[in-house]
Amino acid sequence: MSSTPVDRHDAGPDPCGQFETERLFLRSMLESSPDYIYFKDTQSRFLRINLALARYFGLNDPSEAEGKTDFDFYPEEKAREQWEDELCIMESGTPVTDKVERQVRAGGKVVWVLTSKAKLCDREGRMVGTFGISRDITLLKEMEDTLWNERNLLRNVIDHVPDFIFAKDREGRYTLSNLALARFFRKNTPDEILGKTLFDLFPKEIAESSRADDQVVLEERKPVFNKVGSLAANYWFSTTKIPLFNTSGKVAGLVAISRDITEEKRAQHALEQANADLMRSQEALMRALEQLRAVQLELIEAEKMKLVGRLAAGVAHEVKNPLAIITMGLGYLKRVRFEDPNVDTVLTEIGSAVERADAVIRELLDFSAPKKLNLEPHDINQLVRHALVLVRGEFGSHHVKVVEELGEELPPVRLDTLKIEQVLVNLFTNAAHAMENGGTLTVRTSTRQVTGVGENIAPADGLRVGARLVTIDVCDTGPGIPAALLGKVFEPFFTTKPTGQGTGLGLTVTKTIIDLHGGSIEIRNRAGGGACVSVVFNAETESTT
Amino acid sequence: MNKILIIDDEAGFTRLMKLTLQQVGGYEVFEENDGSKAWETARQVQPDLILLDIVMPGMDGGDVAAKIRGDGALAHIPIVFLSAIVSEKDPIPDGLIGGFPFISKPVSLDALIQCIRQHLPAAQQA
Repeated sequence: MSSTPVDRHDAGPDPCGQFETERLFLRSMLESSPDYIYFKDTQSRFLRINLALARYFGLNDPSEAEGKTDFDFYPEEKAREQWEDELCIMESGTPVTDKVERQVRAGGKVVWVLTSKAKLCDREGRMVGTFGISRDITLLKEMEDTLWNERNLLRNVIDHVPDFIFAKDREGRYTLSNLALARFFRKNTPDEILGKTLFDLFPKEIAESSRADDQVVLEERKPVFNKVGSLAANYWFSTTKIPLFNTSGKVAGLVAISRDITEEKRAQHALEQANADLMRSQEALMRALEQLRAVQLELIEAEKMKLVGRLAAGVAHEVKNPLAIITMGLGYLKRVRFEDPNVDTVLTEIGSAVERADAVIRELLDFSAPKKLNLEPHDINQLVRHALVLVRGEFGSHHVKVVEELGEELPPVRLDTLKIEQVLVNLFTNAAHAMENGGTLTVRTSTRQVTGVGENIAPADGLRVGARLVTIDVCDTGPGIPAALLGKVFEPFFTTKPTGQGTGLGLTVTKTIIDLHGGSIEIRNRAGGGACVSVVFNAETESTT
Repeated sequence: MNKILIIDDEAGFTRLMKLTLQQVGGYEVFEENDGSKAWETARQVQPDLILLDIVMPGMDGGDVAAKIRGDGALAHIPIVFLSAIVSEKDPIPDGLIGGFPFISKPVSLDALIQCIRQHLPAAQQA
């Protein structure tokens, strides 16, 4: 065995035992170090190896390696690579540092080692060989591979999901981004976004809004889930941001995922639109249904009235014949002289009863018969004056004073003069009858324009803002109508007159005629006593039947 | 004496009218309650005026009036419709129906006499 620099202690005296001490240190290190340590001569023959390397080579004792080379322990290719490294060190004096080497052990097991090598010199500084130290880093290498694989997997996921995935530091600089986000910003790679902030990439308004969201996550240290916002015109995103904590528990930034929900939003919008359309259709349908119901009721009513008309006509014919016989009989009897002085009274009563029955039949026919109006533009005041003349007799017998307050420049109203005259005569007669002990009848006419302010104008009324209305008020100073009965005055066969004095059809016929003219009629009690009837015509009503 | 022919299916009415007009005096009154026999009766009676109901079973007033008007021997006789007829659509006021004078039942004796006098040919006026 040749002497080596490692165990040479014959170089001179060692009075202080320094060499001995260092030798001990070296031996301890060689025996206990888990790293592989060797010393070689200039021929790359092992001068000394440590216990760990001996075990690696499968030797029982390190001394068994002395004089052997790497070609005795490694496959030739590997041994040659190491020999060339050593040659290079010896020629250049430059060490090999931290070289990662792959080695295949007997049985095929792959081992990774980290090797550093340098030249070995004697006391005079002459190069006498090389030495090296290798550390088994197989475990570390495997961990590194696992880590790389995981990172690669994660990167693949991040880059291939269609959502935007990104992370930012506390200053708002992107520290991670993915391909989807890069494409959104028209960049080639995700790395082109790194280091930029929202303000580098978005218009100021959007950047500020998004930054404010980031601040909430960073300051409150709480995630924000599925916040919907617009990153660009007509583009909608749902974003979840989660704070990123460093090892000391401080918020270092945030990580976020943003999903493009534009299509969902559009679909939702379309759905809402469709819903609204549906609601509108439904409302229109309901209105149509209501109108249909109203028309149906009107038709039923019209059919009923037709039936009543037929019935009334039939009854009228059958009743009028006996009345004709009674009337003729009365005519006969009135010409006969009777001894009984009461016969005249009896005959007069019978006569007035027949007249009343005949009047009821006439009004019943009037009420039930469909009307055809003969509409012509007419001056309301003229009609009022004429009707007042017709009932002059009634006023005289009831001691009624008439006050005319007829408005000037009333617009002409299209109406059937005979029917409206009938209405006015009816209203005046009712008023006169209400003032048994005399009183004042005030007839007032006026005109006004529909302003729409404070007025309840239904389209069905045929009124519009700007339309001219003409009103006739007929007011008496009688006792008025009991409040409970006010709502019934237009009902058929309702009357406040004593039995036998009213048919109960007068106001019903009146209302029917006014309705046919497209007008309105209302009756109310006056504050100062008496009743007041108001009839309103639309001066613009074109025609009605 | 004016001859009045009353054609009406209401026998009670024609009977009373006959009595009344006779009581008034100046009229000879003939009754016919069957529309289908009215033309024959008119031919026999040769009245100065005919009071004619409209609604009658068998032959109604309209047909009777047409037949009389179509008969050269009767065509000159004035006809007055006297009826309780009412239309489904409208009550018929006194006036004209189909060119004939019309008065509605019930009618007072005074109104009836006035009507008869109005339509009797001038030569027959009492």
